[in-house]
This record gives sequence, C-alpha cells and structure tokens, in this order.
Amino acid sequence: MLELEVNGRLFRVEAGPDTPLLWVLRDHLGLTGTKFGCGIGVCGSCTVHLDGVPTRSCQVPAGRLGGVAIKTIEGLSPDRSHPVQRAWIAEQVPQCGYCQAGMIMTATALLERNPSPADDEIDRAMTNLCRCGSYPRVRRAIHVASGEMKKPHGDPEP
Amino acid sequence: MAILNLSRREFLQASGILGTGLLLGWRASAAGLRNGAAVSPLVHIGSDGGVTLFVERAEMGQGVHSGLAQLVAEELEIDWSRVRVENRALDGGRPGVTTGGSSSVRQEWEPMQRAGAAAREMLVRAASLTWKAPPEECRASGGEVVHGPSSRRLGYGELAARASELPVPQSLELKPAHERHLIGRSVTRLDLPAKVDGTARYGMDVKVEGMLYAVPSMSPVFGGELVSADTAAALARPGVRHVVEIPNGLAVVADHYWQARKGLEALQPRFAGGDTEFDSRGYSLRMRKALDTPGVPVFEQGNVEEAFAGARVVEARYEVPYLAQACMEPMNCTASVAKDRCEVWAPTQGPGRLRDAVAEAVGLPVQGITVHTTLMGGGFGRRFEPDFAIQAALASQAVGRPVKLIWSREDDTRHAYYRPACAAELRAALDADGRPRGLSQHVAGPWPRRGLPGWLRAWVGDLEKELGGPLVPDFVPRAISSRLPPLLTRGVAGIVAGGGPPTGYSIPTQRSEYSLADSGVPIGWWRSVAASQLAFFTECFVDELAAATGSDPYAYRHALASPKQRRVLEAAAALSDWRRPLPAGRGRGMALYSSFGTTVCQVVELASAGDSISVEHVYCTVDCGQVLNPDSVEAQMEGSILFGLTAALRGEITLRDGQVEQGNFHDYPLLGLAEAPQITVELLEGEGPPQGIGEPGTPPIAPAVTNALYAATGRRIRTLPLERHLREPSSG
Repeated sequence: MLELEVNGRLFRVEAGPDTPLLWVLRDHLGLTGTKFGCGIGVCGSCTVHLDGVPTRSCQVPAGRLGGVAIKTIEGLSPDRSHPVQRAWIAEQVPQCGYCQAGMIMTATALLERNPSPADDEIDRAMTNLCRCGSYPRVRRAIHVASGEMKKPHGDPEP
Repeated sequence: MAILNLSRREFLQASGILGTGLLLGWRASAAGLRNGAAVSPLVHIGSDGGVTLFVERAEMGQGVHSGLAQLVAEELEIDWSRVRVENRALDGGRPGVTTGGSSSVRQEWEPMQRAGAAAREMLVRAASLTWKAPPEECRASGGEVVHGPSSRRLGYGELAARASELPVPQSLELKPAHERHLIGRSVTRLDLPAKVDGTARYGMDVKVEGMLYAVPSMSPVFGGELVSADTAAALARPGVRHVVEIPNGLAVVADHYWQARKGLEALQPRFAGGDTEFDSRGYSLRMRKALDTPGVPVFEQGNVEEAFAGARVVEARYEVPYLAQACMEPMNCTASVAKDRCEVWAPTQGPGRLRDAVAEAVGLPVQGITVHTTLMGGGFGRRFEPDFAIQAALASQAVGRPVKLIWSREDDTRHAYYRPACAAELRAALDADGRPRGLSQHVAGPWPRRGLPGWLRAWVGDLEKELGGPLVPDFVPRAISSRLPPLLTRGVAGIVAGGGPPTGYSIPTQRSEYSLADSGVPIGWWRSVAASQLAFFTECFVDELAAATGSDPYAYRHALASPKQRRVLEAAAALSDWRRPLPAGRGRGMALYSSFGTTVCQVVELASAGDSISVEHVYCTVDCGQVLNPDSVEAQMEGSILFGLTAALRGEITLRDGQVEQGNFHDYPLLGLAEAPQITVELLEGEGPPQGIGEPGTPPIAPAVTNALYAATGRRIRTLPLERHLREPSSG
C-alpha cells in the first residue's frame, strides 16, 4: 500500500512500490492528463511537479514518494485560470495536444523559478518533445504568461 | 447530398441526444442504406440553445473539428462559444469516413455550410410563424432570430421545437464572401481548453468498466513467427492474468499496465523466420542497381528521348531512408468483444477499415461492430492501419473482458508502416539557354501494393506469386503499361514514385519511371506521402540545374514557374529578402512545391560549421485557396516544417539482420524547442476552393535546407538525413 499526496489530497494506492508514478497516476488515480510518450524520460509528456520540481514521472518509482507533494496538470488550477493555461489558449499552442500537459507543467515550474526567462533560458528548460511542432508557440506563450504573472494581482485587463 | 430533418425521437435517441430539439442530418451513401443505416446526424440545436455538431472526421491536431464547426456556424449565425463537436461512432455497418490526404475541409466546405443554412432558414421560418410575420422581416443573428420592424427576439433554443416540425427548405443560398464573419477569421479552436487542463480524452485515456490492460510482444523481424515463450514465468508475475495469441506474437494481459509490462519482461519470447537478411546498406545498393536498368513508365509527356538527343545533360542520384511517423501517443486501442457484438475505442484515421479488419479478426459481421474514434495524439498517416486494433480485439475476445492494449514507444518505432526508402535518378536535357527541355525522373523503391482494394490486392498478389515478381514491372511491356488505367500504374507506383509529371514547372517533355527494389518492410502513409521524397529529388535537382548553368536559384525557378507558382515564389523572395547577402558560413536555399492542391515556397537560412547545421529561419509562403482559419493554416505550416525538418536533418529508420535498429527518441530523435528555427508564414490571398493544409508544408523543407547547405558550404548532399551524410566525406 502506497501513500501519495497528489494535488493536495492524500491517496492510498494498492500498487507495487516500483510502479512508476506515471502509471499510478493514470491507472490507479484516474489522473490521465499526465501522458505516456516514451517511457525512458526523454519526451517529457509525463512531466509533473515533485515538491515544485518538474520531473519525468515515468522514471520515478511511486514507492519513493512518501512525503513528497505531487502536482499534476489537473491540480494546476480548478478552472484553467493559471496564466500559463490562459497563455496557451491565447497563443493557440496545442495541436494534437498530447504533449501539452507536460509542456505546461515544465513551463509553470520554469516561471515559478524565473519569472522573466530569456529565450536561451526557455531553450534550456523546455526539453519536452512535440511532434506537431508547437515549439514557436510554446516560446511565445511562455513570454505572454511571464508578462501576465508580473502584473500586480487583481489588475483589470487593459 | 440532401439535408434531412431527423428531429424524430428515434433519431435523437440513436444520436445519444437527451431531450428534443432540431436535428438535421443527411442520407448515408447507397452502401450505407443496404446495411440498414440510412441517415447520419449532423447538427442539433437543443431547447437550451446549445449547438452540437456530429462529425466523423478525426481530430489529430489539425484543427478539423473547429474547422467544420466554423463552416456550419458561419451560415447558422450562432455564438461560436456555444458550439460543441462530437465524433460520431461508426456503427450499423455504415461506410466509414477517413481522415487524411488533407481532404477534410476541401470536401466538407460546401456541405457543412449548406447544413448550417438549412437550420438557420428553419429557425427563421419558425420565428415568422410564431410572430405571424413575413419571413423577409426576420433575420438570424448571434443565436437568435430578430423581427426587424418590432425588434422582437427569440433564441434558437426557444425556436428549436417549432423548427423541428418544419420541412427542410429545398433551395438554399449561401452567404456571399463579403458577408462572412467566421470563415476567414482566426477563431479560437474549440478543442484547446480540454487540452490545457488534462481533461481531453485520447485513445490512451479510454476507460471501460472491468477492463484489463495488455501489452504486445511482436516479432522484431517483419514476417517472423513466434517459436516459444515462457508463458508460465509471465503468468507468475503479480497481476498477470493471461497470455494470449495475437498475429505473429503474444499479448500479456494484467490488471494494470505496469504489471503487464513486468509480465512481458519475464516472457522471453523467441521468434524465427521473416527476412532476417535484410539490411539497409544492402537495400541501398539494390535500389541503386535498380536504377541502372529502365523502369516502368508512370508518366510521360512529349518525346523525352528526342529532347535528350544532342542536348547538354545534367544528372544526379538521390536517396531517402525509411521514416517512422512517431506519433507522440503510441498506438493503442481498447476493445470489448462479446458473443455477438464488439465495441472498439480507437485513435484511428480510418474507422471503416479498422472496423472491417476487426470484424474479420474476431469473426463477427461488420453490423455488430461499433468504432468510437477518439482524440489522437498525432496521426501523420500511421493511424490508417488497423493492426493495433486487431490485437486489442483478439485479446479481449480471448479473455472475455474489455482490454486496453498499449504499445511501448519501441513497439511504435519498430512496427510502423514506414515512409518508403527510395532512390532516384534525375536527368535533364538543357537547351542553349540552360533551360530544361526534357526532364526524367526514375525512382526505385519498394512495391506499394497497399492502398488497392482488397480483391485487387489479392488478385495482384496471386499473379505476383505465379510470376515470381511484381505485376507491373515484369509483366507489362512499356508500350502497354503506359496505356493502362491509372490504378495499375499511378496507383501502384503512387506512394513511391507519384503519378503525375515529376515537376510542376513548364518543361516541354517530362517522364517518370519506377523500378522495384523488393523489400518486406511494411510501408504506408507518412505526412505528405510520396511528395515527401519527390519534392526532395526534384527541388534539389532544379537547384543543381541552376548551379550548373550559373543561374540564381530563384531566377531559374521563376523562369520555369506557372503563374500561380510564380506568385508564391515571388512572395517568398520578398519575405525572405532573397538577394540580401549573407556572411560566410551561412547560406540560403529555397524550394517550391505543390501538393494536395496547395502551393508552398520555403526559403531557409542556416549556418554551418564543420559537420553541424543550424537552421535559423524558415520563410514560408502559401497559396491554399480560400482560407478558413488563417491561424490554423499557420500552425499547420509551422508543424509541417518542423516535422519535415526533423526528417531532413536526422530522421532515419535503418534495419540490420531484418530488425529496425531504432527504438525510442534517443536514437530516433525529434527536433527540440531549442533547435526549432524561427518560422515566418505568409498566406497569400487565395481564390477558388479551399485546398489542403495539413501536409503541403512538409515536402519543400528538405530540399530547401539541402539547397541552403550547398549555398553555405558548397557541399551538395544528395542522401538524407543531412546530419549523418554531412559527417561522411564520401556522401553526396
């Protein structure tokens, strides 16, 4: 029996401790927003936050995550109101969308650490792969979200 | 197609609609009628004013669901945000609709607008009856009907019931272009909210009550068969419930995915047979050898022999490798097979073909099978194939429970239906001004039987066996084969050698030939299909002709281009500032190509030092006829460019001892964000019907990069992928 804290809630899961977090999230907790793409930690479709750090969840055995705060795409906001989600829609980033939860989780972690990333910082952080070619828009949307997040809270839209 | 009023309860229920409202649809084809499924729903307006559009085209990132909704909504005069799009299940033996060939918007452009117009007219008529006012005084706008003189208003929801009792108007007029408010606008895509919060449901996310998870074990050599496996060891693993047979392999079935994977690790399958000798280097030699003897004519215009007599001849040989589609979502399918029926949830581009294949595999009539097309994590042509669905259905049938079968990335890379590897020889006869007066293209590659109707495939296959070789190359003399119906010449060679003239330029005589270099590697559709290699051959070659005659590549093309091409070409030259000099080590190259009705010109600027290539900027101009959603076209161009650029720089599936050598993204790498060039797209004001946008952006990028590399370094690489062949000094 594993105990995991996901999106602020505690879950008890009947799964082997070596089961990758990705599959516990998807198959046991029904949190299917986190995607399987490669299984070797390269593509980043399965990116979640572990204590705020963007992590490839296919590479982390769930048994090692006691006491770690896990955040998935479902926990980012209750209503798609996170500035990154809003920027993703404003810039019409996703095509097939399969890699985008991972992209968004990586981008939100980047902006939490570095609210105004330069292009080369975005290059280094955004190692997620996209087959549809959304990269130019991902870059644009990160800049847009960065601008939004720097505005004082509660400012009306211009 | 006649639009029908389907607002009766039975149709509403069959379409899964709760409550009442106005439901319009159309009659399925004659084949559908025979199978007892007469009509298809299309658009429903509920009593709450909500609008649901039922589509059969699959959404795989190309924005087709939004695009079709945009067409209906234009004429229906509704609030864009109130439209919902649903994929309609394929059931009752109806014919399926495929999604591919950049065809959806091209084919649905008018029917969708007509359906919207019909619903609007009925709602207006219902309002006029309610108000006892002449219909001319009533007009539809923003989801309601307004009575001009009195300013009275009724929402569509309030009118739906009354409208549902009216006949469908016989004659419908579509809006003139200047009155459109949605078509031609970059409206927000409807599918994106669910794609940023994790609620979008892909095939991978399907959940069916009581389902088990399965993973396949397939022969690593194509055509190989299972010899033995340690089934007991797999079954001994926790959660593993069954090991079942699938074509050429086994599937491990467990309570959870990870348990099935662990079971597979214990299975230790051994396979034998198939073409274990096949290797890519040997195949390359065979393709090049096939170019040494005359091929089968695919296309001929004018007397090419005559054009070559006494002319200055330029020739070059090119080669491209096998490529996998590498959709981000690996192949998967969920199936639930019962005694007399079967339900399938599949990310598929071809639900009809998939349904037929599943029916055959599980031994049920097609009428008993329902296919739910899910959202797809990419398609790119791979998901026309039903192989993964057959596996899921057989596994479910064997265990008597619903099964979700999931491929690993390695399965996906090693069991694709690949873009064919092929080699080509291009020859041109130049006149005194350096213009080609004759051009011939000879492509050698695998024989693409696929895509022919089943009976013909079987017939051709039988003949092939009897003859000990393929039908067209060995059996039919050129004099006859050039007169054969296109199915046998273009159809057969199409996916490898194309069907038309090698180039769209005005060259007086052109010829295209095809030679077989046999291979057991499965081939299929890959974004832009044959154009992906043919554009590389011809657009690199035209660049070589320009170089051979000391001409500027732009000016050389300009002299040969049609007026339509010229417009796109000129726009690209202007957009990229073509004549602006570049510093040493940098180069600029272009390619111009028309496919799927759309003409695209791309100019690439890159820097190269040693054996590295850094593509910095891609300028892209497009004429795709009338534009439905400009932002979607731009997104498709960006995506097509990056898809093609990945392939041009490093895409390569190679085989050794009959096995695909690549397996995952570390050895079949995709371009990353940091390497993505800046992309500038310009859409030209297009006239005429809308054309394809999902694929035509891919073909020009490989030759444009190759030509830019030549401009930067003086090295003419003629074999893809570029990064590898730039490192090998003998290449070129």
